Amino acid sequence: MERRLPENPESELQILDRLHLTDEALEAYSLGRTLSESQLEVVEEHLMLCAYCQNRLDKMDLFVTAAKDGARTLAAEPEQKVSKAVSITIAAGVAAAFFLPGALREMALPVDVELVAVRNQAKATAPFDRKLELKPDLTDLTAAAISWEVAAADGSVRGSGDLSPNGGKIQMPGLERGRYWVRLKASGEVIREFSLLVK
Amino acid sequence: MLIMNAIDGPSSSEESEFSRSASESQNNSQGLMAVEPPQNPGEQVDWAGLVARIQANDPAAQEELYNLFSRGIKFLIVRQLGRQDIEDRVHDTFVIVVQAIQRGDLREPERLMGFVRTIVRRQISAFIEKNYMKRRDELDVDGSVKIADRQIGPEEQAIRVQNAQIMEEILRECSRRDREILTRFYLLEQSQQQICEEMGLNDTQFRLLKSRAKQRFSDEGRRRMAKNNLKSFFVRKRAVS
Repeated sequence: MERRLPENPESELQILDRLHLTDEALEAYSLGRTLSESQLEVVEEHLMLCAYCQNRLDKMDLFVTAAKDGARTLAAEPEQKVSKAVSITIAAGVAAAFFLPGALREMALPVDVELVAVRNQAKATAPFDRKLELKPDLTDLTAAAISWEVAAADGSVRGSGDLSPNGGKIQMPGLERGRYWVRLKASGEVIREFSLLVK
Repeated sequence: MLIMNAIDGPSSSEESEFSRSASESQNNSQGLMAVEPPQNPGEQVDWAGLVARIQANDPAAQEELYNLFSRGIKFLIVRQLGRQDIEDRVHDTFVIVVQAIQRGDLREPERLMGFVRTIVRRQISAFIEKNYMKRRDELDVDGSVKIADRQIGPEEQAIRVQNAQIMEEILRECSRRDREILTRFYLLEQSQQQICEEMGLNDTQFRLLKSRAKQRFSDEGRRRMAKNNLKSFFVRKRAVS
């Protein structure tokens, strides 16, 4: 907001209203606005004798000072707020640009889990609510057709299917936290069982 | 508590304008109607007679002159130079005025007010110039500078802070547009003409906005004064009991 010099420096300002100075004249004088020499003469000569207008000018001074101080505080404030908000947004944007795609990609990719036989006492673990790609240990299994099922600790079956011939992987959607059993079956019989802890 | 002595509602033209903007009955009940301003004391003075009596060395005339002008002289000097040595400055100015009248320097007695004002302005200019020269000389000699004390005291500072807070609250509650108008006028010192042109306002809208802000400033000042008075009343009561 540029300050433009007044084209017509307060020349239309009414100085006196019947007996006393107008508020506009007092305000212009208080603000130190350009008054012509003749206007200034009228204002100051009146102030010389009129206690009523002296009091009004004192009050006007208080208001003008308060208006300047208050406006100055607020004028400084929004910029700070905006710049703070902008910087937070930019930082968040940068962080998102760097980390979000990776995080999204990671969320979309299945987690590989190697399953080993329960008897080996080894426990496979997997993160909860993430796609899983289970790789059961198929060593020494000779059956031509092997099916699988994933059962929760309460016995409910969460997924089942035929083991794919290419590496014998099992695709599972995200599971909630808990213990699960991955069973491999051939001709209806469980031929191997794995423990899976989702946490 | 301090502010309130100094704050009052808008007066004269703005007050009556504000009053017109609200309902008449409300204004009457809130006491916002313009109080009849007192007469200007200059209207009743026989300037020619007063000047003639001063020229005749009449002490009563000198006293009358002093009573008429001392407050105004002080008022104008304080605005320019602050309160330091104010009584001496008023006295010096008064002596110069009386001597000039007695020498016959005032040719048109009706212009006594203008004559006094001219002397006050010369006195202010002379003081500023003298102070400037003194500072320059002292700076040349030992680098120490003595500047007239124009700083405001702690009481005035407290008033100023409190008033600024009131105004800040008022501006916060204003619409964005109203705040911009007031900021442009009071802080950025743009002219009314420029603001009205650029923000599509007419003179009445502009004046109304300012007078409303003044009215709210005054109302809030009074409200705080009442609150402070009540608080100090209970503090005194507690101290007594």
